[in-house]
Amino acid sequence: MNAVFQFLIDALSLGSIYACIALGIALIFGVMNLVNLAHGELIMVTGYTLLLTHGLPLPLRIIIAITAGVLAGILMDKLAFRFIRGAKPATLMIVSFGIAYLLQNLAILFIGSQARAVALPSWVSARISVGGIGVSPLDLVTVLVTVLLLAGMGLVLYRTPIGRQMRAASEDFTMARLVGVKSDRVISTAFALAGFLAAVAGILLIAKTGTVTPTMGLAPLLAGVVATVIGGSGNLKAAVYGAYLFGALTVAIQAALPTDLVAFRDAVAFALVILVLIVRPQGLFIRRAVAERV
Amino acid sequence: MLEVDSLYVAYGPVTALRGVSIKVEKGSFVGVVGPNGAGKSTLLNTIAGVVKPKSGSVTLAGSKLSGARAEHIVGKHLSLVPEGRRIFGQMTVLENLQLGTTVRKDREQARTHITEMMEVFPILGRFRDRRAGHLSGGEQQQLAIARALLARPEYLLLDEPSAGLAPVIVDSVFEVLKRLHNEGVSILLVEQVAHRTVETADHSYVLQHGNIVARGTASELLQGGLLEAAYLGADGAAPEPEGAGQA
Ligand SMILES: Nc1ncnc2c1ncn2[C@@H]1O[C@H](COP(=O)(O)OP(=O)(O)OP(=O)(O)O)[C@@H](O)[C@H]1O
Ligand SMILES: [Mg+2]
Repeated sequence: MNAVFQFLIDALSLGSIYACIALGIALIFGVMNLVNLAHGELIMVTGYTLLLTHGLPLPLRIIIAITAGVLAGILMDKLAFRFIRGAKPATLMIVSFGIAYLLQNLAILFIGSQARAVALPSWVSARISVGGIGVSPLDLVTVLVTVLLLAGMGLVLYRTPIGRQMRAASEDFTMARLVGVKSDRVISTAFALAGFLAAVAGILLIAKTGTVTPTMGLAPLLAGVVATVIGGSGNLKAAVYGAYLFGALTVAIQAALPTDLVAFRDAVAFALVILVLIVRPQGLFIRRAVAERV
Repeated sequence: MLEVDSLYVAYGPVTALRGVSIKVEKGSFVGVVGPNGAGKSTLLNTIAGVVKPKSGSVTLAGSKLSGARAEHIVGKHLSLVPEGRRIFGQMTVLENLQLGTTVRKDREQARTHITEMMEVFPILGRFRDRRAGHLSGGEQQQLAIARALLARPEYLLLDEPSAGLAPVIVDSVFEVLKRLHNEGVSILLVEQVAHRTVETADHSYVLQHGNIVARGTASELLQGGLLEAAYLGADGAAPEPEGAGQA
């Protein structure tokens, strides 16, 4: 019972963090066909902001760190991607790789390459007992925050004009412009939302690990990209489902592997993902049979 | 008036329009016909701002459109129903209609207008919460036209709206266009079904290999055999070098 509950909590909390990252990646891929390899650096920027603001009250640090993540997202577009609108996906991706590399090196240059501990309140690493079952308050906070965040994103995307415009732009960018959707505005909004999602996910990840490093964005980036791909690229909901599935898969593999093999958790997870894609290249949550009539 | 003057458009090494000039008077119904690859879609896409011309100009009521972005042009009361309809298939019928009102500032009237559209095209009202991608081809065409009309265009450009539709549906598409024309919307219609287009329009142009090779009213084009000549000319024979047949 305890083990099942622990599995559920672990899977949900990891899946939710992945979902925030994957949704951001899918949003940007949707509106500009960019697989943003610098997405992980949004997390890194958030993390270092959290590190550098130590001494301030925690809520304020969180607000500043999230603001930094959002600004980093907007600036990536304004300072780089804006100038190569409409470029080939490969070109866009290479530029994003360059941005990632640049930001990592800036972090090394100004702060150093070694891992730095981020001071956080002690309850973050505590465990409490709920009805005889041991849980970490951090896991509960993670699940609560991310589920609320994803629900909020759902409202923005499905209930507001700008959300509708973003979905239209992801489906057919040229047609969206033809009905009057302002391309720069939807792209900026997508970057801001992606930055916001990455920042929240980043803070929750750091609360778990307690450290920041210049390359801390890499693993979450990979997980996010994998989640969007197994879900079905170009579809926002599918990316979220893919993230929860990948989170559960990762946790399950970790539980199933003998202790000395746990280090290979991610390798096993990626191998399974490759298998899935061989069977269903369009992703798990996209029905290929429902071809849109043109 | 919508005026296209000596438009040159190229896609890399492929020249699609070689100095095309056309006029659409306010309130008129103008047709453009021509064989596959003549440059018809390129012409409409350039007017709507999706494709940038190499040279030449597009002016609407005296102000320059060429160079403006597509999302701004639609705000100047010129809408394009592109080739292949391009409805947002993952979104509902209602959402597609709401997107049609993106450029409007009068939110309240825009909402009423959507309700009216669902009365004009009852099928859209009936299926308002369905995914647009699940509609039939004819239903999608109605949605595409309704979506364009919700921007309240004075000029409506349509690229082969009858393509792929059953004959009775084609009839109803032409009925809709005639009705819009009677209501005062200026129409620029591109079609492959040449006879019907020429007969419906006040005035038509024949486009071939990126040139206007003939223009005139239905009787001028049909009696002179200009229409047939243009289509035959596309099949192997050398295209007419001069700019116009009956200019
Ligand atoms: N995006 C593009 N890239 C390269 N060449 C293009 C592109 N779009 C059109 N062309 C070329 O430009 C020419 C004109 O094409 P266009 O689509 O305007 O013709 P059309 O008259 O609309 O044809 P159809 O009746 O088949 O729709 C053709 O030779 C076509 O191959
Ligand atoms: Mg065409």
